[in-house]
Amino acid sequence: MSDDILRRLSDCVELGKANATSPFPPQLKGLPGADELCQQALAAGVPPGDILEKALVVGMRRIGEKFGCGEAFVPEMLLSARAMTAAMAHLRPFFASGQVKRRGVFVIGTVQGDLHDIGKNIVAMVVEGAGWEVVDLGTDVKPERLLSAVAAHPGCAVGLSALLTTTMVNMEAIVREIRERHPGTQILVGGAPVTAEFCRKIGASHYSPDPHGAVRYLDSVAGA
Amino acid sequence: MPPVALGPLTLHGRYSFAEARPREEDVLRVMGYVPLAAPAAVVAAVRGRLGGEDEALWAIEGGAVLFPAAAVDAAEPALAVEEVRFEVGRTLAGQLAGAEAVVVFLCTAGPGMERRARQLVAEGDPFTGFIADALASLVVERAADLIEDRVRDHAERCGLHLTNRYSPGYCGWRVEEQQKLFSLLPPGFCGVRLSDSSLMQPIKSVSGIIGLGRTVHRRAYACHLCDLESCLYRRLQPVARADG
Repeated sequence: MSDDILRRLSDCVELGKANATSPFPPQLKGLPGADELCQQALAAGVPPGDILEKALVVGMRRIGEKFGCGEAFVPEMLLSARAMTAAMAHLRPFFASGQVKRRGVFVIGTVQGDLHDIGKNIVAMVVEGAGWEVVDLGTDVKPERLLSAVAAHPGCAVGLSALLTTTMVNMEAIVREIRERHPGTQILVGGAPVTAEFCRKIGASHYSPDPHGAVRYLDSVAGA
Repeated sequence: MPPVALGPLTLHGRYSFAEARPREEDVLRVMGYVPLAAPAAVVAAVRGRLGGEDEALWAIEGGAVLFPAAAVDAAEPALAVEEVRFEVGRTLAGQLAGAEAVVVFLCTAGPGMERRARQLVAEGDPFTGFIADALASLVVERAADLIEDRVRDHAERCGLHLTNRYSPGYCGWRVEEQQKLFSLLPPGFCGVRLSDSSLMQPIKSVSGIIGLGRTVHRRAYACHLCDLESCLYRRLQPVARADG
């Protein structure tokens, strides 16, 4: 029975059905969504860690794979993220108590001078859906604020976002500062003007054009 | 050819959402979808936003200033407008070749919808927030279409044609050149401010130039020469710009 709940829960996350009142997708209309199924799983005694790893992460991975090969687009990723968030609300007490371990901490922000946040928010949600604790510093993040957050979360990974070529250059100085003060920190960069070549040039660890690629990289280094 | 007699011209207009309302298929296309294949949830959300219930969130306006003397230097490559010299890059210099005058335009959707989009994301509904954000991007482009139509009417009366619209940050034209562009506009034009990092506020604003001349014409965007894969114009081709 618990396997069936987890399967349905992962389907709801993949298809973006947050709760029973969500009318979409049409084939699941009137049926429980991620919210209700997560509660059912907990009531059935499924360990919270299994709910995270065997349902939520699986559903987000599936939609991420579809996104990566052009079968799904950002709105579907966000529907999935919304469904995942609805389920995750029931797991938060277990994160707080330490009963469920996250894969790591991911500190993310849009660099100083830049106020764009949609892309950054999408990455934050997808990374959280992959089992990471996300510390979102928002937009126009000053270097000192970012460095404080890195210091407060030893071993964290960092994500830097920029949407303008004029603000993208601010990544270089902050990457250098992080490297000096916290050597070994994984630093991911992204945003419309950012490229793999720019990533290499400024000494960041990884560039991904999409959130799923960021998750793949984070999972690879977390397991290393 | 002798120079064309073109007097100074400054245009400004405010538009309702009904006037600047994008087509449903363009909103879907800009998010990546082939319109008839978009998921039902996405179509429903787009229709909800296009319904016009958010009228109070929009402050759509646009304007343009005509500069009768402009010179394209293909060798540099640069565009000279009065005392300002734009380093437009080779692609854009080629696209503007033959321009005898230039219009600098600026349009905005206002701050309301981008705030609403941010609020939706903060409240845990990034899906609707993203759609609101995409819609605002297209509304400001529609406002630019409306301004361009007025520029075209004026140009045609003078026997001139228009090039495409070009903006700093696209087609190899560096976004920093936005500072020079704003120096040609009246202070506070359309209520848009420019930061030191060349970010316009409200964010849902668009600025740029249009070339005017007897031999210029609208061309297909040279996307094959550009590596900006996230570009709005690339996603919208060929249907959104109906006059293109």
